[in-house]
Amino acid sequence: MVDLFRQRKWDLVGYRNLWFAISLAVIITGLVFWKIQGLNYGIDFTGGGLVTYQLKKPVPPGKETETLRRAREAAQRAGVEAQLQMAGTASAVDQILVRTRVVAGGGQTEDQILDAQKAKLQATLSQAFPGIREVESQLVTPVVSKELIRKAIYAVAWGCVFILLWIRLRYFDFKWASSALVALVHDVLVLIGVFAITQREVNSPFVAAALTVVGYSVHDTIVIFDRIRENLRLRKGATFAETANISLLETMARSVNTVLTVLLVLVAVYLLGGVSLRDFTFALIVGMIAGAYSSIFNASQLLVVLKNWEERAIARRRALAGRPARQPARAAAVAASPRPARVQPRPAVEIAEADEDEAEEAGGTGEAVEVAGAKGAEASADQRRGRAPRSERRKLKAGGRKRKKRF
Amino acid sequence: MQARTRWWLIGIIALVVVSLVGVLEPIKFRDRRDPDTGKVVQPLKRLGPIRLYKPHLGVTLGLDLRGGSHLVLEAQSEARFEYSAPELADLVPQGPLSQAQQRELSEKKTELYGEIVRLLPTEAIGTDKREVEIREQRIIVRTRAKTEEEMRRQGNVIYGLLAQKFPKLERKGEQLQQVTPSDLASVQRIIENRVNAYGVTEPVIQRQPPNRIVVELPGVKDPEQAKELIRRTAVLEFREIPRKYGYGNDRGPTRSEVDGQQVFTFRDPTGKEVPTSQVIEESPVIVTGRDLVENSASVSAVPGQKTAVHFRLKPDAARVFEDFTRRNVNHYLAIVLDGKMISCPIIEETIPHGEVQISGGFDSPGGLEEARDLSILLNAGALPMDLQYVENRTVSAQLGQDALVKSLWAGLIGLAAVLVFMAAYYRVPGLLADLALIIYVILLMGAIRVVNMTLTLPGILAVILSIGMAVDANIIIFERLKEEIRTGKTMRSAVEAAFKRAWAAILDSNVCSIGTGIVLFYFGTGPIKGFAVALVIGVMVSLFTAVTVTRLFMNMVMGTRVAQNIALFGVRPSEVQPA
Repeated sequence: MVDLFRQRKWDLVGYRNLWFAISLAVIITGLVFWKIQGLNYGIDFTGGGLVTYQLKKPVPPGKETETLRRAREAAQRAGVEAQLQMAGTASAVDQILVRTRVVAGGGQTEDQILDAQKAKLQATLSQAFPGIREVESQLVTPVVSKELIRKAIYAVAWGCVFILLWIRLRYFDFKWASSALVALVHDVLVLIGVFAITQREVNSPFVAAALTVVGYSVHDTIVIFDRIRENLRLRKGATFAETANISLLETMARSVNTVLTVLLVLVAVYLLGGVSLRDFTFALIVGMIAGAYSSIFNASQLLVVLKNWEERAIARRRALAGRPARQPARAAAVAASPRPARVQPRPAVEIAEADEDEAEEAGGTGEAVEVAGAKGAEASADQRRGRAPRSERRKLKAGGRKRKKRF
Repeated sequence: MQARTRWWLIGIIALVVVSLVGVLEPIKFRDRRDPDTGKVVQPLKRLGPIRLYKPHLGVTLGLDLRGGSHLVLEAQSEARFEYSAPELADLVPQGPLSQAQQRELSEKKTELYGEIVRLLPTEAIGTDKREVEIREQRIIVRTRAKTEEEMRRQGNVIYGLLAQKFPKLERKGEQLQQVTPSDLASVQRIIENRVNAYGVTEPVIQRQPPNRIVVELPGVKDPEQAKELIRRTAVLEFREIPRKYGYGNDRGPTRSEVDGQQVFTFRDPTGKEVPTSQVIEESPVIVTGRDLVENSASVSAVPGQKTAVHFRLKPDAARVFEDFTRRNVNHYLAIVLDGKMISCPIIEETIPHGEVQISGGFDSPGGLEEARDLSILLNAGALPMDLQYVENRTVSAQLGQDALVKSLWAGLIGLAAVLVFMAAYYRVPGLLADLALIIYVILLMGAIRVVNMTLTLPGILAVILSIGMAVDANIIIFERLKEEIRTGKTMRSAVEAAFKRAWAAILDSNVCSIGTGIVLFYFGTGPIKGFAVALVIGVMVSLFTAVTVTRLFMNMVMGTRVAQNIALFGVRPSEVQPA
């Protein structure tokens, strides 16, 4: 199973429209469900009561609907306006979740009203299911839920600010940054869509999961982008699409494996952990998958599209100006450097000369020194071993190995 | 082995040992006893010659894992309306009165008070609280209101209702009394008193400005009872008991004790028993808890003297009280806390300067205890606000235990899956990463112990998630390593280069995770905070284990023959491009 991806000659970039279509299909389906069904907001955001009852014995398989119906009847007899749901682990369904509407009034606070509801529910439910016990009870009043909503919005906003700043720091270029951003928006939309379709609860943990996913997915994208940038310098003459494709394949094992290990533990928690963590874990799983997909199949592909437009625009301008077209990859490499190198009309000879300098510059500001030092050390080590200095060897090899940093 | 490598290794082993000792509570060779009672809490386990305790996880567990109540109380701001009613002038005595006149006056006042209360139903005002006080010619009404606007609306209603009875009514002022930081601090202190009295182990009582108190009661047996007890911090009133229910030594109230609580019984002139609630309702308020100087109530218990409870009144109220006591010697006074009569002393003499002393009745056995209770209640009642629960999350101990066991199992299985995956995919480096991952888990638990983080269910999820993320750095390094080996480098320089070049990518990923973690910590509440903290700590610890520790292990392997077989590093010899 060593290296599933390296040997493949998949043309990922060629199928980019397919990848976009898949993403769009998922997102649009989700949005339609969102529009029709709405999101199932939990009590964190709506306010209300949530009481968990533990049955004495797990419900036999196939009897869940019947049990739920009996529980609903019991709640009706208690005269409590409530939504009921069965819960438990994959192997044993032994809990009934009762979500009630709690409105203060008649001189009673929310807390007192929920207590009264619970007393009534306990009475009728224990008639229907002897030995049933209340094991968890939550009350969120409207004051608190409003605050939780506000905090969630702030968290998302500041999370976005942080990530925007981060992308801005790493990529001055608009095309790269916007491609990375679109991928993040994609992840969040997929996450919301899946929750709209499955009608799982959207609570504070959902927001936490979304932020975690976004933070995790953005670096996936950045790693791939870094590799593209590096390869642009190494593989002159190739089109941007070719370079992107090769970079994707090279980083594929890393992209897939890092998400895979995270998914391994998350799936374990989803299947074996308790009910309380299930929605949280589900959100993380969906988000991680969406994030991995968008890093590989959306962000880089979108970048290719934007670059193609740019190349065409440059060619068109050239044609109008009557100058010979520049080498396409060259233009891309310039645009890719973190310092926004102005694409200025310069004589062809000068461009060729500037080439090396720019590549050095692009290699990063702080690391240049360190890399140079390492090179010196390597060279002397090589000499001791009686080999040609590395710099010589590099010249001998086609394509070279001048990778300075990152994947 | 190089000296440097050896020292690193010793350091890491020491860290692991320290963490393990910290996490698994030290093993003692004695029965564990409760420090107070001396009873054996956890008996010694004997396994032949070895005697051990069951290892005990030395990490503080959150309420969702060990069961208990998380309560958020909100101190309610209130509105105070003051009106002057010239019609009340004849209630204010002019000059000294005869006893008969005094009696007449007090009856008149009582009657009027009842009328005003009936005039102002809570539903009409739109509030769940309404207190009425008559002070000379003024009527003071207190209600619950959150905003200025709500207060103005209530004010108009109250004015309208009162004007029906008092045509010359005049508004003297409306005021919204917000909760101040010092109010909140007093509430916190009083709740602490009560929770401690209730006997909950390791309760947490925190202020959450501007107006909230968070109370966490781990392992509380009867959450509803505890909840009631805590909230009872409320309204203290000194009321004047109408003369018909007792005067001097004639038909005083009888005191009895029911379920450890004092109960006062009153009789009307015909000898019929009257419910205490009715007596309270009919008794006009003289001063309230607000008029007490904060925390002024204390107990004096000098041998040979009567045990007494002292408290001081604020100057304004002191004048009112002095006036009142001068005219009402031998009358009974009702001290009412939260609608419950907690004491019923008789007025023996005029009380000047607001220095009040309640004595008598505390000299029976257990009287000192009663006196202390009363002083605590008086201090509590001096708080100017009501408390209301705005959030309540209660988990039973069984459910928490269940969740803990389940999530720990899930974590172990997830960990095992990652270990197997890494070893299978990356061979020798994978095994080294596995070792580093196990060290990671131990160090993480140690770190959680050191920062004294409370482990919640989402916190455990973060720990498990971070196990999956911790190997990310290894994956980045090992993928790079493969590429470096393929280029034909010697193993040592390939390792060197892989670690150096992967570092930037690793840092990138961790900065992102830490950044979002910090945002979550800042805006998260309760369990989500636990998630964020665990995630950030996890990422930081994993930086150390996945990079430094793995690097160390790799260096150690470099010296062995394993390093010469590149197949063990997941690279086929045929893939290597000759240098």
